[in-house]
Amino acid sequence: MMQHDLLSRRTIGPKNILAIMALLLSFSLNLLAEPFPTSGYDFLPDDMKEIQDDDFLNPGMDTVDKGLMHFQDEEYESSSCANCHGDHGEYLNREKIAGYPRYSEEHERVITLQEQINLCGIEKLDRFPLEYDEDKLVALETFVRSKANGQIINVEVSDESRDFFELGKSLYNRRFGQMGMTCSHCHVQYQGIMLRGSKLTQGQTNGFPVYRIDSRQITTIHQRYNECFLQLRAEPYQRGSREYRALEYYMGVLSNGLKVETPGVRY
Amino acid sequence: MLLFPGLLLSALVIFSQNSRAEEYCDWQLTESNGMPAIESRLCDLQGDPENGKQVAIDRSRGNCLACHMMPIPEEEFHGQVGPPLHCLAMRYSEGQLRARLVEPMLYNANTIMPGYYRHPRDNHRLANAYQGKTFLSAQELEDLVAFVVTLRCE
Repeated sequence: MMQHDLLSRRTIGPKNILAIMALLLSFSLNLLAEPFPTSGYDFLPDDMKEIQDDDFLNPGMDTVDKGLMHFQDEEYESSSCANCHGDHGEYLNREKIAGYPRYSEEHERVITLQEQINLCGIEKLDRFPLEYDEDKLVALETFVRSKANGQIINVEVSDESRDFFELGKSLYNRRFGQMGMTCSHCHVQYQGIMLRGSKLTQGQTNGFPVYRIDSRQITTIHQRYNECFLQLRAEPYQRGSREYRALEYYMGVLSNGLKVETPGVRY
Repeated sequence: MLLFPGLLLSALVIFSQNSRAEEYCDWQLTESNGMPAIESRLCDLQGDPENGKQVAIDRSRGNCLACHMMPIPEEEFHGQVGPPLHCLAMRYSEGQLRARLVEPMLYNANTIMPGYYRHPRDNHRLANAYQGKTFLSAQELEDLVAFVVTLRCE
């Protein structure tokens, strides 16, 4: 009745339409956003979820198998990871793995899981250190992290690690490149919203290293940062750089409460 | 329904080959109805609304549809990051629209929207391939302005 009245008096002019659109938009923003934190998994269509959930379908499991091979490899080594951590890594501390990157008292800095594997290798094995993000180290990281699958992520910040956390935070909120966008623009402010044909996720790191359907390869967090920087038309940092490690640390904290899903399957 | 986000990525990568460095057209910031405005056309270039529409659609150029719903029903997948652009010319003057496209941070310091004619020196860690380049050329920017001023709904 009311609506009919309005229409017949032709009062739905541009101003009213705009008001209505603004109202609808503000509603839709609230409805579309996901609670924080939400795994990238929950942004996937069902068929992609099935691929991640099934070890025989998940292409990332190849990398886990390779990692296990390196983990047990004694051919060129005086020893192997498996000698201490169990044939299939059964003595690894799942809770600790889900807490990386973590502050090391011994090294007096925050250590990523890749760095920890390297440090362990330098101490006990022959062919370390490996280069950051090189295939063998990525395979080992993927295997070790997959052992913590289902474990709740708990990345801690202490007085000693506060500065490193703050560095990561400042990078996360810094505008980069010709696009001039921050990480937080897409992955906090507009998460859940459609960017042309794709939905913006929270950019959570709990599934990394992930298998990406787009590139058909296992992708580390630092490699993904490089791709984001490319999208922003910004000059990337080096993989393994202090900046990327700080970003990984900060984003690890944002992922607290989610479960480890390595190897996740993502676009 | 979901397109591969990688398509977006590859579109952006291809783009790097298209843009070229050119002399930056300086602009004068004024105020109109209490809002920032750039009244003069960049380098006095004449915009072409038809080309401007293509710039708005083109994923490798303006890609306005990535974030905005627009009265371009023939295109699928309009984004929802920014406000709809229907009736745009009835909400803002040409000078205000030019200012918004050149440097949206004049309006909103926290905006996600790229500055389509931001001075290259104002970008942080600009990739080597884009050194000295603006997002759109001055001509493309004027084409876009010429297009958006046609978005009326009388």
